[in-house]
Amino acid sequence: MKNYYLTIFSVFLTTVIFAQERVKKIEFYGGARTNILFQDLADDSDTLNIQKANYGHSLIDLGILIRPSNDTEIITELRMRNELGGFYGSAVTFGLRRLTLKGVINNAIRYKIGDIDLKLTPYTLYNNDYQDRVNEANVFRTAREVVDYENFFGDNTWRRQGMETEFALDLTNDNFKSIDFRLFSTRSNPSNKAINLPERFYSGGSILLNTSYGTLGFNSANLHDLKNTVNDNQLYYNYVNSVSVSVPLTFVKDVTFDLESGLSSEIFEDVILESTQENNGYFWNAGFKYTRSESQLVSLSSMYTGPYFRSHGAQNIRLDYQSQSGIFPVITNDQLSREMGLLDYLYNDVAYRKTFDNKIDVSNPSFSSALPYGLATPNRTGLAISAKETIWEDRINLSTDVYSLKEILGSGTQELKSFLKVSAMLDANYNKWQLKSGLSFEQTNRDGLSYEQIDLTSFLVDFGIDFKLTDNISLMYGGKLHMSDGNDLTPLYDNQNQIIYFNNYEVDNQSQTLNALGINVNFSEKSKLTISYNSFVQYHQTKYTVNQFHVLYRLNL
Amino acid sequence: MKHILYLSALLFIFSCDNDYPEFMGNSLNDQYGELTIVDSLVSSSSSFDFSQPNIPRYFEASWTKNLEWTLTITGSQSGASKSFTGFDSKIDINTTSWLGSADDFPSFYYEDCSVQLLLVDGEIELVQNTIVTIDEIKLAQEGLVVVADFEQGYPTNSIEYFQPGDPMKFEITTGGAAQGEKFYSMGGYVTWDYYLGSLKIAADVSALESVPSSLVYFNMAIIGGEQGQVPADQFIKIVCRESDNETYVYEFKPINWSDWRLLSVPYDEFTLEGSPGNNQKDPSNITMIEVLCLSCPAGPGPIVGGGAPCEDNTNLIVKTNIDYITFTTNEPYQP
Repeated sequence: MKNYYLTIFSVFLTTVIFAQERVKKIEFYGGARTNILFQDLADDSDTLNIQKANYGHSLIDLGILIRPSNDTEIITELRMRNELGGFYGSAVTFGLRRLTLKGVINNAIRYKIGDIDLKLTPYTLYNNDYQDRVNEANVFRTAREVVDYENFFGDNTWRRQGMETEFALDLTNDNFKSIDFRLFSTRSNPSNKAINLPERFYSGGSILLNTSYGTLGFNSANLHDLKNTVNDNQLYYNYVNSVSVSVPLTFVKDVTFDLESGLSSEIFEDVILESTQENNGYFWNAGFKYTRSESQLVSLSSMYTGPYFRSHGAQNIRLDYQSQSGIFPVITNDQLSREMGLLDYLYNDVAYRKTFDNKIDVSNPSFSSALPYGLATPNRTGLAISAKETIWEDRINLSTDVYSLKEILGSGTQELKSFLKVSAMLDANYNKWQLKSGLSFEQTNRDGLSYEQIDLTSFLVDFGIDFKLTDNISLMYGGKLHMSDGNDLTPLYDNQNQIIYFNNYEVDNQSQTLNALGINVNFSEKSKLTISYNSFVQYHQTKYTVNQFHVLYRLNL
Repeated sequence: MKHILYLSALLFIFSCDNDYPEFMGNSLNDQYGELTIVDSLVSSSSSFDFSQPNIPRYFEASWTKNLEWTLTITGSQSGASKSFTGFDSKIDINTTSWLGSADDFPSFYYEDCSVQLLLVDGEIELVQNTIVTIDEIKLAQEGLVVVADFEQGYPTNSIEYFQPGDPMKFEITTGGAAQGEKFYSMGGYVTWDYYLGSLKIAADVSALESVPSSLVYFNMAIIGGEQGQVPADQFIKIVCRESDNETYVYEFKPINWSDWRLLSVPYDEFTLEGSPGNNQKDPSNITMIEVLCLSCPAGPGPIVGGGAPCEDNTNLIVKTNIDYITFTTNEPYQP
């Protein structure tokens, strides 16, 4: 008879923090940054609009780590920010960027309260990556890091406010090893009595069974209103649950079978009319992954995401394509509204979504038509192939992803759209040279009557090359090219996420290029300065050029 | 264990049923397709006999996309109008079945009617026309009690009174009636009194015996005049006297339209005026109906009953003509 011991233990390596040694009660960390841009709208024929924009800021983020006891930490990050041109403190702002309490109970149950970063699976809770990059150059990565930092975009996590707990059960069995638990509950919206907006929470978690045969997991992510927090008119609920399986095959070496499948339910409840509308959907993603070594990986998977699958924590687009920068909003003497582009997405004040709600985000077909909402994009089925390899003594990394998809249900017609998405990335380094490049190609097609036909092609290229002058000084060049041509019919959704209209979307050989030449100076491990000159050209309806001089200084405390 | 995992995976993949519609969202054909007529507008027959309601009278047509459509039938002599509307790619018996009624007064007569089908697709409009002839007008509504239609002149035992204003018009008028050919004109110019005149009609509503007052409707066609030519605040007061001398009244206020309209009100909404009798509305006991023509006098000078004159009504001739006074059961009168 086997004896089973049920013990509780901590699951993360950072428990070293709570070792027997003495630790500091208070620690300081953080960083400082100065970010300055000088932009010039190069159009001599434009005599009406402002041609130059100079702006920027300096800021200090001071982090304080307080340890009241060996089991508890309080993390707070304070910000002081001064806008460029704000003399004598007139443009200084103060803020609290983070406040988190975390700790361990009885060396077993880990908890966090306050600002927390959450992620589950690409179908349940996932912050999808940017759509305007595919392995971008280092000269652009410096600006991208600023966007990541300001919007709390880190490794596809969502910054939420709430509480999280993790613990595990050690099964001490040869076959069933442990069960890992992770639970969270966060506040999504505060209630607003003026507009009868109820309190909204986002709760869920995961349970992972570790066995000698593989892993079996359960994931849950639920967006739900709380009744009776206001005079209820309408309430909303979105429940997403999935099961994930990862099993190494015994009859084929180095091959793993991975599967995730789940259900969603979206409920709109009208309290006054006492009626509900419910949309139910499901998905599955199954495939095989061959991992010969750390440097070689090939995977093949089949996917199905139903037309009515709704998972707002995973179906999201970071950039709000409808937002407009305040920099050069109008161009030419015809007072045309300037179309946003690659320059704005990296450097200017366009809006990024720090959170998600119950509405389907507006997408931009020129940047993504196949999977605009990541893997959880509804109404898609098909095959995906991925491959990664590192060669020549780890100097060259290659990877590629290919998706061949089609709709499950036609959009406004019985004809189905088909999608082809191909991306490839190359990283190489030799002596003092470093090369980064990436390419993404998408093709969307649909047959049918003349007003049903769709033919949209988009192309995104990233290229960057760095040369180390010295150990601390690098010259950098980066280039981005985006091209789009064709047409699509994009859906317009109502408040209940039902399609009510199809907007005619057309682009006629639209292209935009962003080139940057820069220098990076590492004063020390913690202190860096990047200076770059950028040129952005957009060809669509009207051509315009913006030249930019960028200075970015970062200091880590 | 591994087999359980494999089987669970397969079960999950194939366990879900698909119950999807044809496509998501509205049809692209409705949004962007070309609008053309597939079947032209036709009527179920060229002449309509509404005396036989069991025989359906309808219209048919079809076109290439779903959109808002309007079918309008207009009497060439009466000017009566009947409309059907909908959102579809066709019309048929289910959506255009016609029993001979009009949307409002005037009612259809023995006449030719023009029928027009209007299809609106954004800025594009398609029109289809046809003609039908009414051989027989619709039968009287079940439970209908006609108090006065003025076709034979004044109703029996009716009493007319009007003030000595100038001009005054209280008379039977031929032509342009709401129902049939004749109606009763009520109007004129009185500068000292709200009351211009009235018509008392002896009524026999005994056919409504045992019908509760909540199910009895008082109906009357009324026409005012063009704005600026008649007082804006002119109105009509209906007085129903029952056999126990209880008097119930209702005011239609203001009468500010220039085409015939049906005014229909449940008898339950009439209010008691004066001394109560049995304090109970008994529509079948109504013995007299009086229709009063009223308007604020323009002055100058003292006003009967007190109050200030309405100088804005100076030289504006009151017009509150009436026609086809009826009682119905369960529903308002269908013109």
